[in-house]
Amino acid sequence: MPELPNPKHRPIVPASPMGPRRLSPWAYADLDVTSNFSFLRGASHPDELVYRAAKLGHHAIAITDINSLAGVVRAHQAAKASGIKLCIGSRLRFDDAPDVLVWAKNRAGYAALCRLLTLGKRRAEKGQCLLHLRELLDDSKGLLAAMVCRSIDPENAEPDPAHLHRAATALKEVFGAALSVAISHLHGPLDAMLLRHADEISRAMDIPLVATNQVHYHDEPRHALQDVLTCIRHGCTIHEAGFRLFANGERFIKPPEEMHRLFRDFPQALQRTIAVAECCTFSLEELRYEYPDEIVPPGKSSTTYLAELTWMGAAERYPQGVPQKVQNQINHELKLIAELKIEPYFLTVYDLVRFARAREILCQGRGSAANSAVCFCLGVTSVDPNRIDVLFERFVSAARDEPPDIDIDFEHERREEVIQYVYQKYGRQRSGMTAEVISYRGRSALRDVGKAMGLGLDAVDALAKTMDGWQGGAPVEEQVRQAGLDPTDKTVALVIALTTELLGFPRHLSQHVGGMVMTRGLLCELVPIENASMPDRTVIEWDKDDIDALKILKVDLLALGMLTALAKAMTLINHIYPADPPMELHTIPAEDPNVYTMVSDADTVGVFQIESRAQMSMLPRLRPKEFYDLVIEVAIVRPGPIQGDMVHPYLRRRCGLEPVHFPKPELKAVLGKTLGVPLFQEQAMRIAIECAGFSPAEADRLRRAVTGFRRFGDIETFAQQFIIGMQQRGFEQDFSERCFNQIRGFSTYGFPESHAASFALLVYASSWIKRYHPAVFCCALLNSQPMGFYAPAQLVRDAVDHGVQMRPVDINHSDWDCTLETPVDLSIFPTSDKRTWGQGGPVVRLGFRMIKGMAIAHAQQIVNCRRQHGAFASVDDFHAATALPVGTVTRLSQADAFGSLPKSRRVALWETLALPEQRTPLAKPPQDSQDPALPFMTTGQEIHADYGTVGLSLKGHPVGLLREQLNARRVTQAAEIWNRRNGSWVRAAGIVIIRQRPGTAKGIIFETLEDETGIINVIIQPEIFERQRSTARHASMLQVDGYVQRQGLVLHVMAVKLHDLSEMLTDLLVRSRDFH
Amino acid sequence: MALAEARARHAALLDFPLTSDADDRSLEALGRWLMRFSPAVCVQPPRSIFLEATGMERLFGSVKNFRDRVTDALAALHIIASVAIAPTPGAAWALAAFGQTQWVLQQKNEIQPALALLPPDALRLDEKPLRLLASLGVKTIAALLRLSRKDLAVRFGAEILLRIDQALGSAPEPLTYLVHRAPIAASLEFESAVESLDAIWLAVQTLLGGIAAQLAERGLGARALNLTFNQPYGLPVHKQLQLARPSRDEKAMFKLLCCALENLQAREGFISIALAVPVTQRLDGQQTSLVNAEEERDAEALDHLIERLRARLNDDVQWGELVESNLPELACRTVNYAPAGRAIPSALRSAIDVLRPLRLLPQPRPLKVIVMPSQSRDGHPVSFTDNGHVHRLEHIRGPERITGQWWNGRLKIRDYFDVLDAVGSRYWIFRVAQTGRWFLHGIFQ
Repeated sequence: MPELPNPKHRPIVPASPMGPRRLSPWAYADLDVTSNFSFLRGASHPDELVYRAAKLGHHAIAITDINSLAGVVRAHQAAKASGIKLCIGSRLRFDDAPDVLVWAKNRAGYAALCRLLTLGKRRAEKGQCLLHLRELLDDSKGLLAAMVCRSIDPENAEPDPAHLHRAATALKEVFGAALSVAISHLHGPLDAMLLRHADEISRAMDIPLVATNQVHYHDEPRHALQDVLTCIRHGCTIHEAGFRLFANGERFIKPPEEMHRLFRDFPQALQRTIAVAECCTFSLEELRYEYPDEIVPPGKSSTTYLAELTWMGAAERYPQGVPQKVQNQINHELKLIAELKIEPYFLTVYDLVRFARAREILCQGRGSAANSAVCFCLGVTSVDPNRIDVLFERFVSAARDEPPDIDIDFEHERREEVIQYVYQKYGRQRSGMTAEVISYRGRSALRDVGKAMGLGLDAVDALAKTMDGWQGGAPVEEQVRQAGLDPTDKTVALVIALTTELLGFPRHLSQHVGGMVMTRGLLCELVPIENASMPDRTVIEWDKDDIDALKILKVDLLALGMLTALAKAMTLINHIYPADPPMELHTIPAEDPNVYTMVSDADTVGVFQIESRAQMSMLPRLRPKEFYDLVIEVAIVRPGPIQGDMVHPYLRRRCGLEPVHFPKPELKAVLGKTLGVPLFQEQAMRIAIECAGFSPAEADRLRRAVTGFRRFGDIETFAQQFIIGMQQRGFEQDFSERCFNQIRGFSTYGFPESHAASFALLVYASSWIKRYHPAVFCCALLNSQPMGFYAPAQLVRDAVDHGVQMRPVDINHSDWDCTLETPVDLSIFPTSDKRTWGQGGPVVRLGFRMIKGMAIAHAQQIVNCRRQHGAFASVDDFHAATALPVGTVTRLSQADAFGSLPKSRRVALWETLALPEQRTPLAKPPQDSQDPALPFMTTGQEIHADYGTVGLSLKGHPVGLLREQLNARRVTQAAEIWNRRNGSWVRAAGIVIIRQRPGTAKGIIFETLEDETGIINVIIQPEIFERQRSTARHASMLQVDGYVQRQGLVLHVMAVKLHDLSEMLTDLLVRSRDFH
Repeated sequence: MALAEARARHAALLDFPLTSDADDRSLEALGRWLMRFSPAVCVQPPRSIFLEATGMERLFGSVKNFRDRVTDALAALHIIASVAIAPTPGAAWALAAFGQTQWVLQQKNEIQPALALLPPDALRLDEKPLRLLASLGVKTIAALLRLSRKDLAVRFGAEILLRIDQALGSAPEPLTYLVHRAPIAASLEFESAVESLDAIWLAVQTLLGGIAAQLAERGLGARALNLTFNQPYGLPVHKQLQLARPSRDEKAMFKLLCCALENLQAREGFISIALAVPVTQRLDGQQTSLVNAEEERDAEALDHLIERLRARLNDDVQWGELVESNLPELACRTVNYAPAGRAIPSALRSAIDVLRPLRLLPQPRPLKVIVMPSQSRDGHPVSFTDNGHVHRLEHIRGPERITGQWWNGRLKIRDYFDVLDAVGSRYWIFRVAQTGRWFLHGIFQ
């Protein structure tokens, strides 16, 4: 599916130009404002509310979401842009008292509020908050409060006057003059009575009244959406909602003069809004981020400590002496880091990497600052600055007042250890994961609105399906009709209009994939912290945009499957060759020509990144010869360069078919390495400056727009400036548009050179292991599943193709993981023929993990028993020794794991079934009367059974069994197709192993088929797909009739007709990996 | 396969929820219907019916003919069924389930050869042993029978041997047959046409006594009564009655019938009267709760009242129901009476109802209103003129603002005022915010 711009990063810009700020002569400020961060209540974004209040000339505005501060950063940004004063507060809902509005007077009050909310959230379920009035009263310094005298839910009974009285007494005692009683004129039936109650309390206890309007949306027309949100919240339709809806649409931000008219009898309550607002001097600007200080040992400054660590690391990295070039670079970088005072950032990252290394967790940094010499010396990356030169300033520039950005990838199975280390080191009060705001996207919004408006589920689903990836606005009538709905129907029109409004609304908070925040002071005084749905995780209320806006340090701790596989592979290698120096990422022999030859032949199944089909078809064209070629290879098969149509120009220049020239001589330094074609994000930005006349600041805004920080405007806002700018400077329109298309492409999958370089290193490392240790490579990948592009069956087959010997799962030989067996035979020398690479090397024994439904504990039980008991002699012996449940033994026998006894699958199963569930020590195994008259299995049945239990077979390929049938259908084998001429007609058939529908391919489907002789790449054009949708999407075995299309070493079959042959496989459990 | 996946594959797919209970009831009904072919019918949900064929060859000429008649009858009902005849229920099931309907087995020694090539599934085994047998490569009953009985019992339990034996006839399989159930009905025929209403009432009472006894015997109560009066020449007169609760109380039922038969015309008299109970419900062991006894009695009394009203008014009984709606005219609706579901008003409802008039006009009536300050779009009413009468307002409360149901395209906003005029009458009037026009909507008592 094409990746669409994520609506959650909606820019915070006013809907219409604001004009100069004018204060209304009628002084008023709305202090009770519920935004859409009170999920499914508020019907406007915080920024919409703030801009509206500013436009109407309100003197100030507060955002008071229910037990939350999640929306305040957005409100703050809008307030800053529009010049209105913003009060930070929240509507506190208690278990035992009426609602209380609180606003932070100063930093201390803000801290108290964050603490209180953290307390309430940490002890409740995710997304909930449990508070008692007592807790507010105990910790209220720096807060202003107002008791609310009416319920926020219209269906609930209004609070009882006695109850209000009690709460007011308690609040008054603590807050004194800082307390108000909030009153509203909402044109409800009970208004008069409620006002009277409030007024009585106010007079009796000398608490001033404050006027509010219980704002739920910024402008009147949102009333309808608010009703719909209420329905979604209650899970009912608008027709059933009844009293749960507000009776009228008065809860919008009213002009101040209207508020004065409504409260003409209570002028003091209006005056009080100004008094409260003036008292709130706190602004989010005051939140100064401070780096944690335990990263520097006592008595050292961070500057000297960082320098010390860097030079120490440098000495280790370059045992022959640090090259002059690197020395200069280190000095230069350290100076820049000191100027920007970001040493603690590097030290924080270093600390995490050091921890990981001590635990032997493989990790690698990437991101803007990661490929610096300093990071190489600190061990954050393994990209040698001698091997690649990326200018450090390009990422950490003195002009940019923001922390640098380093993401660290960890082995995916062990990342949690690092996360828990952070929690443990800084404590849960000082660290937390970043939130991810889950927002309404096209489909979810349509579903919820449709249901609320009473459309049938089927109709909603049908509509949602035809409008896949819809981004709001009027859908094509045809689409609506396709869904079986009448586009002229009023309800349908309403659903579509309301859905458009709902797009981009936050729905709930979730945790970010890996962003962690650490602070020097208490984090819970900076932002409320809540529980995540995962155990042992805590999440702050703000997302990465919020954190970015407040310049708070965040480190992304990400999980990467390939690192797990590499770590396992290197451990295995070190184990097999104990005499050699231990292998690490940076000690893998560099620039080995054999590795590049293998890569150029697209022999890359299982290799990081370049194993995908698109990459594989690019490799023979690009023919990488050195490390930097891999960097390009990684970056070029990406939406950016593809959308920018930069791939072919680059390839032509590389093959010498087109002269290398630069759009501008100044760009030679920037574009030289890529032959004048911009391929990386940085280069595109550079072009914006050099060729489109962007100022560095504008280019930076563009970069931020591209990398997903859309708060300051969408990429499209830059399009005109960019294209016109380039044309004015004499560039052809075509080239300038292509450049901008590329920038658009980057926005979905940003890939800067620094990331590509970090990834390229893993590409090289995994290729090297595959080339020289194919058995190890296969074993490590199998033990790291699920990961990567291919299923175990393909990985095993690829290993076998490289001369690796595989052995089946066996109770007398297997561990949980796949293992390597027999000593290495060094007398066999692999030749350049890939079939010899694994010969003489270790043999891979499949582990119990390959058996579907096998539990790790049971596997360990078998291994432990075997160690004490020795080899098992019979099924009964095995069961007596391990005492495993009969079900598990059944699974093992069905997976043919008793082969070494030797017992065939059926005989083993027959014997297993006779085992008693409970063993008594003296019970004898039941004596069978005779050999069971069980039929023998054919190879075909064996293969079927293997696929059913282990997902692959070492005995043959399922398609091989069908060859006779396929011959009758005049189907050609895969190996034979590779010898066919371009344009010849073939029929190919095989198991579908991969399906892809890349967003960049304009609806073209790529499917990969496998038969007993190899794989066939199939291309399905959209017309064919539309005609045979079901077959293309679901067939587990496919026959494709079409034309061979070949270009150099790349071969596809262009489908003309598809046949679903899934029936032939019947009970075979084959599932393709589908990537949409 | 999950439904979602099936739908994804075939857009035109129709799906229906599984209704096991209803299916089982239909199967039983079919079984009862089949009792016309054989007195001994056994129904085994989810999808089997056994008919005892022994002795039927005498009635139908031959066993084969018997089978064909059953097959044809089911086909005429558009029921797709597979019918087979064998000496044991197990063998018949196996043949029917696997479509081997060409066989008509009459001797036990014919069974084994007929079943040999069928899969073990034909033996009515559980799913788990079947899966294991498939894994062992045992694909036919013949292959299964080659394995030693002792070994099989160790591995699959005695159940598998029983099923084999039942199919082959070496173990008995007792079936539970349906018991014939006569419909509950009674009728009286007169020697000549009876015109006297008294005599008719007497006859109805006799009939009621008869069915009440039948109901009592089966522990049932009637939920509906069908009366048929046959005239000497004209068409029969039918009367149907629904009962709110199951009953076999003769007197109560008689009262109800009296209500329903008030306008019974007996010009030529009737020659016979029949009473049938088409719908029954279990009535035994009725439990009266201690706590809610009074409420329960009230509810029962109400049900009886409604029953009588319905009998008299030909079912045309409407029930006023409160609806949660912010719009006053939609806050109540009349529905056809259903015994259950009388809603209790919510707290908010009770709070608001105090402020609402008991009587709303069916249509709001336009008014002429003078407001203060005059010309103001949102001024307060000072007086209004209705039907030429001028009401000077002494006291007003409001406005209460109610927005129309935008989802029904009704966007008008109304401002309601609760007003008291000089003579002490209280009215509920509103102004439409968009047009400034005034209406009278309700009158407080």
